[in-house]
Amino acid sequence: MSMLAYAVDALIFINIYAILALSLNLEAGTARLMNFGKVAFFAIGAYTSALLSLAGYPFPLTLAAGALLAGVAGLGVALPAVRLREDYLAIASIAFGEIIRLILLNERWLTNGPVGLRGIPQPLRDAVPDYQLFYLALTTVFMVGTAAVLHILTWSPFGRVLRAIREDELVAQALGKHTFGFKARAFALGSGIAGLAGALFAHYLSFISPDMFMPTVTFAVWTMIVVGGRGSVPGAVAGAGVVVLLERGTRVLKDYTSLGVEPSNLRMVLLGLLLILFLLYRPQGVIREGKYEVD
Amino acid sequence: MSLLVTESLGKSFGGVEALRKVSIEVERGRIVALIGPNGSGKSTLINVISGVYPPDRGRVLFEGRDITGMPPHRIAEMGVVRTFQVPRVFRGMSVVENLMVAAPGREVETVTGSLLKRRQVRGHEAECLRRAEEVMEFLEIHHMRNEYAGSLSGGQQKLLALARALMTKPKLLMLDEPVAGVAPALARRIFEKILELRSRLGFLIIEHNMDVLLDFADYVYVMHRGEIVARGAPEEVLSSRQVLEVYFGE
Repeated sequence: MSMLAYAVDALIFINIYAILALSLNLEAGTARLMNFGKVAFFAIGAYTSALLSLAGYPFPLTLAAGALLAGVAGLGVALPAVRLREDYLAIASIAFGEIIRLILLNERWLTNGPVGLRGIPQPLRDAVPDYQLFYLALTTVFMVGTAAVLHILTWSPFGRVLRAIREDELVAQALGKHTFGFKARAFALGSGIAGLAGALFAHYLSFISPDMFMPTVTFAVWTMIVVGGRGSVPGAVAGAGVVVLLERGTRVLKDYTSLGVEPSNLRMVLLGLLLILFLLYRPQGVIREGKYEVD
Repeated sequence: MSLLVTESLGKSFGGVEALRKVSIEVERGRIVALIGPNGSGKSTLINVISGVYPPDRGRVLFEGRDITGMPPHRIAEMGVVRTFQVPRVFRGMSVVENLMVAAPGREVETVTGSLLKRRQVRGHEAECLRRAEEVMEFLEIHHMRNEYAGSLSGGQQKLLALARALMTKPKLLMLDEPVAGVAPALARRIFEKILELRSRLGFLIIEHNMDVLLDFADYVYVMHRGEIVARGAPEEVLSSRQVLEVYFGE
């Protein structure tokens, strides 16, 4: 792969992970919904879009279906789970992530099991001269669009209530806010956006398998929003950039050094280190959440 | 008609009877005080009225309507709003945002409402901000409007909690120790503000400061071990032997 192709590939991954980080930022950063099963909704989006696409449906439809099904799954999880205290929501969502992965692994009739899905159609594959550049443009449009919508939503009356819930849910209720409804909506919307990211991921690689949807994905996305700045929309994008580049860096490092460590393992160590350092020394992240001010 | 009536409320936690046959009344335009030693059930009473816990027995009527067991947000929407003993401000939000979030805004506080009804949102925001400015001026916290609420002093946070409660357009305000830990001068100022608001709404206030009560309360209920043990005008009640016994065990 040429240097340019490598860079474009990295940027596409940054876009896809930025969408995923933006979705977690809405839930965890703005509303303090501790979703530790993010990867499940990413996987639902990826598999839904891939399966429908393999069945011959057009890309815009499969993309929408992936996002929609992930959103509906999010609502399904949210209805019982957001009533739980935040630490129990964290546990319940981890469990949901594993359940989805085990379904992908074992329901061969639907998902082809551990072998995964191959030959997922790529939209406009033969119509554009440089497919990578085209896909970079496509994912950029989706990433920027998602960030713009979430920016508006974060600083709207809806987002303001989510922040109040994050700060003190009982007080938000005492001020007349039906906090359960707000949390369920945020969770469903976040899950739908994660599904969109999953669909874009599947069609880019044109191959997906259950081992791409391990819990480590969720933790990488958490690292992105902690590094970027919890609650910050530009922070989620910046965090995705930092984490993807770090991951790429460890792969490149392998070619130049003779560390006795597998780079994928080294990556997890570095992610953990990054997470700890930020939590200790810069808990507000690279780009601090904005503050609503008036003249 | 009374604004708020509780009819023989009872509430137990395990074997402890926190409320026993508690019947009180609050009328519009009155400042009703609730006093009693720690653990006498005052905060539990406010929690039951505001829907945090359902009562085991009895009823809560607001403007003649039975609100017993309704969820807290429904009760607050009807105009029964409370503050907390420890001022629980939204620490990571600015003072002005603390106020704006408290304004009722059900139509625009949805995903689609916030994204698609832009004109309505702008109108709502302008109106919220106007009211927030008004309330901040009234309580003299306007100069800290852009500070993080968490950076305010304890007394300022008490003022902010009161301001935030006012933004909900309440009919009955229940204040749990609104001036505890507040410097005396500021405490009097808070009560003077409450007095200014009295004509428009009813107040149920938990307070220990006898001087403040004598000056500002219209009616006092004394609680002890979950029961109302005395009631009446502040001068009578605060000089009664029974109250002294409750407080000082004499």
